[in-house]
Amino acid sequence: MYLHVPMAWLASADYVLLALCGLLCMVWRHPLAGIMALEAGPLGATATALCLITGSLWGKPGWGTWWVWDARLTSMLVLFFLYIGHILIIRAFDDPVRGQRAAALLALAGVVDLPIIKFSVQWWNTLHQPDSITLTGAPTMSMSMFYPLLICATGFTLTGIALLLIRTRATLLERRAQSLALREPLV
Amino acid sequence: MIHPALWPPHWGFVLASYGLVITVLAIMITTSLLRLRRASQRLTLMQRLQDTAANPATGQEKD
Repeated sequence: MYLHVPMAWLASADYVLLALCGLLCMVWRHPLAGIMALEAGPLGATATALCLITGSLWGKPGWGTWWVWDARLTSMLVLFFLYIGHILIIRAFDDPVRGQRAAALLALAGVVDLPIIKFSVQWWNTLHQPDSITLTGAPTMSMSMFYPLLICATGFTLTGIALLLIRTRATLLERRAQSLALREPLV
Repeated sequence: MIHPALWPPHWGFVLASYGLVITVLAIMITTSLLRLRRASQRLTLMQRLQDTAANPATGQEKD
């Protein structure tokens, strides 16, 4: 639980960031938003994959099966495919700006999946348990489990932010070096 | 050593989950830091080459 739940939160939060970057890219054409979207995609895909795998590892002893085509699990798998599509589209064009705009469209369209993931356990009769933590109500789990979960979630979120900033900075430096190399012959 | 019969239930699944997440995180952090280091070294090199190309005399005087 201390790995699966924070990974699920991180995967959803990363997609919100991806959609915001897409919006910034489409409306204001901010170049940094495109670079952030480029780097947020693989991080989100990794978090989603880890969420699905750790959930499967938890499901086998808990439910007796690795996988069911349950609404929560399926919508999370759709999120993973959205991330994969975004990663492929943003790198598919020779012109990076065109790639960023095409990927932004996918990111914005895919936002529909987030409320489906969140409310799937309420809308449909699923094998997956309902949410133990909500923004409005008290958690339905023991406090001795709730606080470690919060610490784990904070740690993973901060690691995710740090990784995103490191990778974005690396891309910026790579592009600056590339533009210097292309500016004029050095010798 | 604790006898395997006394290990927590489903310890294999727990070990697999933690092992997987820690390995993936370690790989991601290491590769990201290495990429940042390589990019910053390349940029420094390009800037130095540009400076040398712009002021060749300065480079010769230093020699």
